[in-house]
Amino acid sequence: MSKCEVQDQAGFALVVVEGEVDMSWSNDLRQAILGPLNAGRPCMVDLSAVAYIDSSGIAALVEGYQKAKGAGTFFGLVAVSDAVRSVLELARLDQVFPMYENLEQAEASLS
Amino acid sequence: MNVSEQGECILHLEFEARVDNLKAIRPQVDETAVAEGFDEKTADQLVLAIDEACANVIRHAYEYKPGSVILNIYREDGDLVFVLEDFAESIDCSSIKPRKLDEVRPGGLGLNLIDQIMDSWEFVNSADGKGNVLIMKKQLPKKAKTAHVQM
Repeated sequence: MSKCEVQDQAGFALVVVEGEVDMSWSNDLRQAILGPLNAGRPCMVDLSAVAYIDSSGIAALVEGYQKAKGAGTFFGLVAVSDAVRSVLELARLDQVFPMYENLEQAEASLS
Repeated sequence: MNVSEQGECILHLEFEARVDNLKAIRPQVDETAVAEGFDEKTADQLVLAIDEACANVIRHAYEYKPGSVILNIYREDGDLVFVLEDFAESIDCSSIKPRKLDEVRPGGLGLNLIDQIMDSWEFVNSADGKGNVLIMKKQLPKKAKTAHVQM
């Protein structure tokens, strides 16, 4: 089952994504990411349980990154799965996003 | 299996141009690629390329309106050939180019991914003037040679 859920963490919002991200629901992911960023809140996206992502899912991540950059807040990726990393590399975006191995590392970067 | 002028057809799919059909297409492409000898990583990439091509048909050719799509996969002269056909208004094939990847912006990545993954691709208009055909080729992996050891 594919889904995304926004969890409130101390100091940032964590969007936890599961399943296969494609254009049938990538707009849900986009909204989940932009919600906290529009409120000026830092946002991290946990991608550990993502088995597949297409360019529309990658576009949602890029939009989050650009939104955060423009708003002077923070956007990063946590526990990026091999499936996602492979597509980021193909799109030459693997050096663009701040990426953290786990939530603890992500939290430490914001403290 | 069919044998056509394009080689041996090893997968034939006809489906409605709807985003909720993409999930069912991916495993069939994956199984075909693996059966043809591609490693898991390359098979995953081929799935991505075909998914992006189908998404482009839904988004750009049919503009989310109802329509039919045909995907045929052929084995031909050492290549796996993917032929994706739609029946939407013909587009200007010369206008379709991948964008520069050094621009960090959302959107427009699908054709880049196809370009990165496939050895070659080309858009052609259907022979009857209605619709578009995207032909993508990937060289089949070479079969492992048996080692001969002289004692």
